[in-house]
Amino acid sequence: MENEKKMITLKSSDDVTFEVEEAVVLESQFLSHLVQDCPAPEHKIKEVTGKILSKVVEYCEKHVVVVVDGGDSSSSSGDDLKKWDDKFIKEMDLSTVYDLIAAANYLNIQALLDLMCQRVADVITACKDHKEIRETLGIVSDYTAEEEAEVLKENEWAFD
Amino acid sequence: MEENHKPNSHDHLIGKDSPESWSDLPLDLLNSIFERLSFVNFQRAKTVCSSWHASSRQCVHIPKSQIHWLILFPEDNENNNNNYPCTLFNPEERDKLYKTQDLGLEFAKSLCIATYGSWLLMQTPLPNLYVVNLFTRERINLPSVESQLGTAKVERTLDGNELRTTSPHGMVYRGVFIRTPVFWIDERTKDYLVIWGLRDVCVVYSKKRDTAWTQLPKTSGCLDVVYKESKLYFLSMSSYFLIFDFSGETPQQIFQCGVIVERQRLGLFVPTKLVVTVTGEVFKAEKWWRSRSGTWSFRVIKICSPDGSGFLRNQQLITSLGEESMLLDQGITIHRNDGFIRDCEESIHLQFLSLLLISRQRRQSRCTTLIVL
Repeated sequence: MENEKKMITLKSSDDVTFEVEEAVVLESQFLSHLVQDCPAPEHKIKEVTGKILSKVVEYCEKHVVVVVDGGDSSSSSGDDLKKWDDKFIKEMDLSTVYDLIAAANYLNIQALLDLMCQRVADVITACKDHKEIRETLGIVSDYTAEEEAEVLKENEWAFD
Repeated sequence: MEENHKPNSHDHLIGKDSPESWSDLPLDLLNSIFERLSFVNFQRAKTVCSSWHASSRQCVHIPKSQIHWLILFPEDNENNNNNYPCTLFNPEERDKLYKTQDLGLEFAKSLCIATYGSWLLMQTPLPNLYVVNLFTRERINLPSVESQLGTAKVERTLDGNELRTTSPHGMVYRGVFIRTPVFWIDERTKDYLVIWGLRDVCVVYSKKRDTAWTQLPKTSGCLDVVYKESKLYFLSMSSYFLIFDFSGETPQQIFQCGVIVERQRLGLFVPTKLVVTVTGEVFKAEKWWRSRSGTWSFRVIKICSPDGSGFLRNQQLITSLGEESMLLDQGITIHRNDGFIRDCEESIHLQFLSLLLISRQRRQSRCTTLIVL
């Protein structure tokens, strides 16, 4: 009985279903409260699409397995996990990153949120100036020419 | 249940086909990106669009990785076209130099005597003191050194060009010698505390809204002070050590013990520094000259434990700091994995140490100091 893993079904806004172990769900504070409060076998997450939820599930499954297997969180499993994380974010386009930030925040999965924010910070760091940041993230500047000149002057020293 | 959960009230559909724009990211999420940026990259990100700029103003940027700037101060000669910026060098970006905005001629004529975050404590030639933020140029003038509350006096001589210091015992000294300055400022509230030794006469302090310097009792013969987490650690050359608690309205002395202070060894002066560890133990670090080998060597001795027991009678020589590193310049230790030395190659670590040594000499060279952001 104790070895039998409790399965929970998550359903996205566009009705894609994911069957996951309860331990996976517990990675998300929001979902673990949800599961505790209403013990139904299936939970609809109206705010998250299937595409994004699949990424969330993939991340949580990987992280839950390592913690259980590692026991004392041996360094090799920690390194493997980091490698996995790196690969996970490298293959992701920035609009998925954006959605995952929102999803991780909504579902309250701190480690995933941290990972995604770090990715964006790395992207910003790799840009040589504010124009490249705009280009990379697809942000349209809403400054007038005058405002922009003023803001740039304020931070002139950082532009070398 | 689900309906009640709105962590950030952006309850739009996550993952729908037309993605939201990065400029619409809610403040708290934008913040957790900003705090992962270095200081310079944060300044760049601010200028991307107006909503990021507005968000950046609401957050006090405390980056997760700190920059240890090396600062070259402006020269106070006339060839600068009235432009006196500081030049900054980040040891991790080897080929880049940054220039701050113009900090003014007075800044160029002044001496930086302490730093806290991006704030500098400056001493003007008179001398008077002010603190200034290197990047925002926000400036806070401190009370005139002549305004002393206590038994020691600082007065202007009759011709008005010089100051002189009179101790409570009537000793008169020329000038005002500012010793062992330390300061602290809260980035958000701009509450601050500046503490320095007035010669070896006494230690004085001034807080936000003070209009004068208040003299601390029993602080003659100041050899070194360290300020950490609302406590002032004070070592006197008259062989005693005090701790003052500055968390209340007025500072309270909360600890006292005797300490053997070796002023001279074989006729040579022995520089002594206080060091407060991560756990609140207090050490003194002595530097002395070994003439036989022609080298300087250091000796670290425990003064007191966090529980308040002194070690006057059986001096404890410290031979290892365990997982901590000592920043002699700042009089503290840090965990080896924290801030300073995190992710640094050995060579960079050594660079930092040499930078620290340079910064100790700023009085003479007035060119460099170390700043932690």
